[in-house]
Amino acid sequence: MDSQCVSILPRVCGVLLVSGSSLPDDTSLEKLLDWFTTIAQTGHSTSLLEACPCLVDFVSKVAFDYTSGSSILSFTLKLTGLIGASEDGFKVLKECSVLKLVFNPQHWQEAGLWEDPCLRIGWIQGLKMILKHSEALSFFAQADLIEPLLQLQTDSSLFVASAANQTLAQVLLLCQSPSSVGHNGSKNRDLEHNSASMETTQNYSGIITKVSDYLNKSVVLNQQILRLLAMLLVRVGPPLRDTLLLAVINSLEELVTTSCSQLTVPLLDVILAANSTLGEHSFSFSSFREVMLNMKKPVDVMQAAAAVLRSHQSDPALSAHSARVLLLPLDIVTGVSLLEEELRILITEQLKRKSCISMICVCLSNIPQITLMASDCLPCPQRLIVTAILLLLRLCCVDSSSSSAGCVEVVRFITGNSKVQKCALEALLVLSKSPGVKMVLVEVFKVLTEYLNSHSSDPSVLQKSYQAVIKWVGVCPDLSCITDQLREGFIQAVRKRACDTRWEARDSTVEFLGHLVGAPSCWAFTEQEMEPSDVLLGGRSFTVPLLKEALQDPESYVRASSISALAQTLTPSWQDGTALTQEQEDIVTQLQEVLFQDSEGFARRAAVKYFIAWFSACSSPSSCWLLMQSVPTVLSQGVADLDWEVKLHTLELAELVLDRAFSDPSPSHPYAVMSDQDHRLPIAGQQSDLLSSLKNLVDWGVVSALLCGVVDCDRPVALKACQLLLKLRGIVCPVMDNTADTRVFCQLAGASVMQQVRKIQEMGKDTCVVSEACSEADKEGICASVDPECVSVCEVLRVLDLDEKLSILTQSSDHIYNSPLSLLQDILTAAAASSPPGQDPRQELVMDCY
Amino acid sequence: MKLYCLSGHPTLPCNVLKFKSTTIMLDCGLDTTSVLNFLPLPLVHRISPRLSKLPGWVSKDGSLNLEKELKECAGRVFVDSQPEFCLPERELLDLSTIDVILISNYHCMMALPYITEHTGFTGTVYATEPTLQIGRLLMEELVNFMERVPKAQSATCWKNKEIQRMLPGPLKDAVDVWTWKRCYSMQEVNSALSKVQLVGYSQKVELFGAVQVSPLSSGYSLGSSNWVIQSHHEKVSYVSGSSLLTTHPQPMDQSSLKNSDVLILTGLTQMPTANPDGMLGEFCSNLAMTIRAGGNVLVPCYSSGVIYDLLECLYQFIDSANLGTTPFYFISPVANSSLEFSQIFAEWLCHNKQTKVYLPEPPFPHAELIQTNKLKHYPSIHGDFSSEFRQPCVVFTGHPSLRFGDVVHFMELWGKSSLNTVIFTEPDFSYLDALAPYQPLAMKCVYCPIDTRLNFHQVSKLLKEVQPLHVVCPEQYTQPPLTQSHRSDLMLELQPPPMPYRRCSVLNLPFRRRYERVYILPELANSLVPSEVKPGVSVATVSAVLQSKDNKHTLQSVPKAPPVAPSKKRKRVMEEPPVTMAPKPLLSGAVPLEAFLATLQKHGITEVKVEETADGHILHLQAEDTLIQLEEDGTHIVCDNNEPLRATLRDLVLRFLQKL
Repeated sequence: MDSQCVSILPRVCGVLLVSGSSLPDDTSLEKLLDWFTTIAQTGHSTSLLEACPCLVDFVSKVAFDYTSGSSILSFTLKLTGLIGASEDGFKVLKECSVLKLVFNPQHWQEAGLWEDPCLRIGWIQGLKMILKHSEALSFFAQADLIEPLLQLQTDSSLFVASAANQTLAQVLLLCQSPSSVGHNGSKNRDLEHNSASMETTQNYSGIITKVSDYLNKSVVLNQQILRLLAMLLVRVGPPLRDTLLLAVINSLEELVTTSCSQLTVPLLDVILAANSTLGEHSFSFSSFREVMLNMKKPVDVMQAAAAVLRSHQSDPALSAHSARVLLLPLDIVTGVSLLEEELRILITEQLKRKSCISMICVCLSNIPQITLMASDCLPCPQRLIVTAILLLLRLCCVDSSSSSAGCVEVVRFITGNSKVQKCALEALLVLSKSPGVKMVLVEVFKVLTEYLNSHSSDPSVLQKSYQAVIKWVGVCPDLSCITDQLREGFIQAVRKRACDTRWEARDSTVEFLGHLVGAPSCWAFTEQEMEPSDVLLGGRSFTVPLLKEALQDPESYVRASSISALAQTLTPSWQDGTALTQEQEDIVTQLQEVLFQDSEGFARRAAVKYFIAWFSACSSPSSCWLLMQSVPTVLSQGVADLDWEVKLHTLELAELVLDRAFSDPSPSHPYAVMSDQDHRLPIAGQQSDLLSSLKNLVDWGVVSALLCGVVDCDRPVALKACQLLLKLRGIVCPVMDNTADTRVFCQLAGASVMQQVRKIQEMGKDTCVVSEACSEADKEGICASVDPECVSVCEVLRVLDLDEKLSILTQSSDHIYNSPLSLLQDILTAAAASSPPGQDPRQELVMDCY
Repeated sequence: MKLYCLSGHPTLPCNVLKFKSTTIMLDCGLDTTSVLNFLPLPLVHRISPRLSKLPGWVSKDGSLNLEKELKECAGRVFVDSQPEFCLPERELLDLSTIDVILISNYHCMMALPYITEHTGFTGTVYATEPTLQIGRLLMEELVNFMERVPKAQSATCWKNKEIQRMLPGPLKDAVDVWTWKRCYSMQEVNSALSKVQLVGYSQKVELFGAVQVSPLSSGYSLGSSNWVIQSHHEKVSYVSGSSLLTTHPQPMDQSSLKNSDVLILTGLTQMPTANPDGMLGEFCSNLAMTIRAGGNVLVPCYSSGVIYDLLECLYQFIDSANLGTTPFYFISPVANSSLEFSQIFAEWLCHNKQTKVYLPEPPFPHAELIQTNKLKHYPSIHGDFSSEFRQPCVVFTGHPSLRFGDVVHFMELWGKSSLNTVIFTEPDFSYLDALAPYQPLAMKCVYCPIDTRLNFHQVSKLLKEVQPLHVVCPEQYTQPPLTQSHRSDLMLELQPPPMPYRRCSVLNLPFRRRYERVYILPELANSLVPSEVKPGVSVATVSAVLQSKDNKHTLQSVPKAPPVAPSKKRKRVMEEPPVTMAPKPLLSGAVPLEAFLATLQKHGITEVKVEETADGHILHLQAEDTLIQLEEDGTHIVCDNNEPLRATLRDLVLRFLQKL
């Protein structure tokens, strides 16, 4: 810990003690506590008290003095907990008899402070923190703190109640460990401890009895207790859990039979928690199925079923039943007979109201869970579910004239409802992976085309439809079933959406064109392996012109998406090293225009990423003249962009070029960073290789881009550039001897950049002189450059204090303001400022407000 | 009150309402779908030799040969003659008895010349100014389309019932073909329109003192209106072609429709499932898609109405879709007038457009399209157009039925290339039927019907708000569309259920007139002596003469009998002036039981048995063997053979009542 902090901490404690002292802001105490917590957690050997001995004094003073504000009291309670969390701290607190006083609710009640929830929460949290060791537990038992803790379980303040729940769970967990050990009796433990635990087991069982009684009495009362019970059942171990369950079992059964809608969900949680952890001890629990049947509202039943599936129940019958319940709305609406169920009438009635939408959505959103079930548990084959969803989608489509054998009344609510449409498409996405569904591919494709074609499809629905196309095409290796007519319809739909008046629709279309390229290969009618994009859309001859049109789109998102899609579309040809086409040259010209002229950052970012994708995909970039011609332009333009993300992407491109330049001779991974040692021993020829690589880098504009970047005002940009320069330095400087470096010069783009680099150089030079790392020749090197905008690369790399720059850049910009020292100082300053002699600071505050 | 339904077409209504002593025709729409049975009228035969070379139709067994009249094309048979229209029913009632015709919008007046000319009609037609002017344009256009390609031949044989029965396809099922008529002449149009009297929104027009009619803004098209027909105590609303969407016209006035006894509901959207916004989007994307691929776009449309919205939508879309250089052509004999008229009817426009009138800016952006040469308009394809025509382009032209007008030329010109697209935006015609004589067709067809009229959801909300006692509507609205029988939301569900009508229905509207307003002359009113029967209600008797003239009823003083002129020449049997007997006083009030019993006792009647009944009490005077029934609205004394007792009792009763 900072010695300066230690030195002013007593003063801070003093300030806090002064009643009514104002703090810089209401988070100060929290920050202070956080700081202490960090010290307690990180200082392994030294406890908090050793680091800050003044704290005990502070705690005891506050404990005896009621006049401190409630926030200070609350803070003190938590701090006491923090100190007492270590056994040493606990002892110290116990010795100065602070502990009993601080955690005695009576003490605070008498002072009339217990009413304040702020104080209660401090008490609970303090208690929770302290309960880390057996000493604390015996203190808890002896002081009979279980009573007030139980009272707080249903506190009027939800925060207090919740914290009390957590604390109670912790108490039980702590009780559990010695008692369970006591039961087994064979575990290794030292005798001393054993005698202590035997002694306290009595007390602990008292605690457990009290808790059991309490739960049994109050479990019927409210949701909070049910939640607590569910949490306890999940967290505590077998013998204790059995005790608890035994205590509440009757009340729970009573609750189940008189199910009240409000308690349904928490009750379900309890039952699930009890069921999921049932070991060899089984209870005469009325089965879950009955619980569900007892529920009066179909919505509750559906929720229960969803909860069962989410909890990954091991009981197959229960899961199967839940799946049947969840699929029921789908069954009723579409008339596709998925299952038989006694709930049918109830749910059918519910579906005739407007609320049917949420019900159907619950059904659809749980289909992923259903698909995870073992096939013998499924109420019907997954293929049938797909058929039902397709019919549902048709019913939802405004243009469709499909009718169902199911519940006709629902149609008026779901027709054109994009929420249902989206949920159904989402379910369809998931079902693409199901076994045996490939035979319905044509149907799926027809419905999706219908949606893409429909004038009433919301853009979000269109997007989902596109996703579904990609998913289904991706999983079906055989697309021969897609007829020419279907394909033509699909192409028309895509073409139309590319001209949609809503930019969201155009954007999704353009994105889709890109994503389709990434879908796995498939078999088409010709029995040849083909790309899905070729099969469905006729390949690049269709896609690229459409995407090129989209480059002119008035909406920047669409332009950006079209650029990314173009990159995705062209990647395979880049990888193959196919010869460039005129079309590609046109695209590059257009992208450079985007980089130079586009008013929106999205498009420019995408343009830089296009070149990144190209460079990474290209097996031999240096042999691709168009790419190598474009890189300098992109780098120089990109690094001067106004948008920091564009600059950052530009540096990523620079990194690729850099890596490629030095990794070319060796077949190592292009991203592998070369360690300094690789270059430590000069090998014949290595120097000249490096020199030519460095020259290339300079020619491509990588070095000037990095030098521009390192002085950039955006921290992430400067950081990235600095890291890259360090990398470059690591590669170049160890190998190059001092005479060689002057041969590679780099021109800097702007005058301001030049000035800044010079400034850094100047600063660097001073240190260099002292360290004698910089020879006279270096200095001459700088001065020798005839062109004032030219700098010698190696010299700059050596002279710039990149390490220092890096350490500055890695720190967040607010690191000074967030330091503990600053916090402590703030508290002191605020106290000094707010209490001039003879004036009530609060009054002044009020005056200020006016 | 009766409603005669002369047209069964839900959006082209023609109904006659007999209300009080007036006969009011509500709209006279012309059902032009009959023209789909005819061959298109080609504008330039050189371009379309195909149409003139179609084979004539002979029945399969050869027994029927109508080669001259009927032509076959792609499996369908068309009449080769001047197209004819299906008129409103003219036999259901004598059209000369019609007092007034109320027009709700320019689409619903196209049958006007058939009603007002050669029928003995002597009444008045009421319409708003834009309705009249644009209606005139549409009629002019129709006449022009027909007259510039006159057909000498007029086919009539096929109409013979015996022959028609043997014809194939839709021709066989066409109804009332004998009543179909050729288009009217310009002279008839002028004569019919000369009978129009202009009205403004909410202006009240008295009809013979009996009823008052008043147009309300309906939000559908420029000058479109709904009508309220009311007397002092009854109100009938007529809703036709209304829209709640924010397009160019003034918004719909809904509140004035409240408290109607009967609401006649017509002109709902013909495309209940096609959302106009979605369709506009669809229109734009298809247009852009075709132009980008180097094709031409043909939009068959009316020369007024939705085209303004289409142009406005395109105005915003052109730049964003990079269509800046594509020419847009609007070809119609009335194109220029239509575009210019739309700009001058400021008071009939929506608020947004009205405010533009005060800026140096025209309300519709098509003016700017014209200025920047992006939109060009021509009266026909002849003349200037042919020299400036540049492809690819977008052409807006009529008629949407594709049977006549310049559109026929473009269909023949562009139909062979799959690069071109025809986009249907008018919902009046089935696009498949419209395209039938052009088959086989390579050009793409897109159906984007834009119908901004009320949909079922909107109308049920509207009806909930205005709460009419009874709703009358075409029968089509009482069941879901045939093609979507599961869509129970695409029909009117009301309580009480709406009264459906079809062509030739005569409905007795469920409506009893119970009150009539009567005026009283001041001097007579002065002579009245009101007496208060209960707080706030006074009653007076009046003796007067009721005079009814022009549906106005007035009470006048009874004239004094003229002095009898002495006649000496001849003794005549003098007619005695009617003896005006003083009317018996009217009684009011109630007989209080307790007080009455006390009075009876005072008069020595003590043995009274009181029996309570549903309406009051029965007093049984046992000694006198007499009954007195005291009821709310009457008192009976049943007393046989004891007249003095009866008179006494009567007087006792009268003591408790007020006399007027």
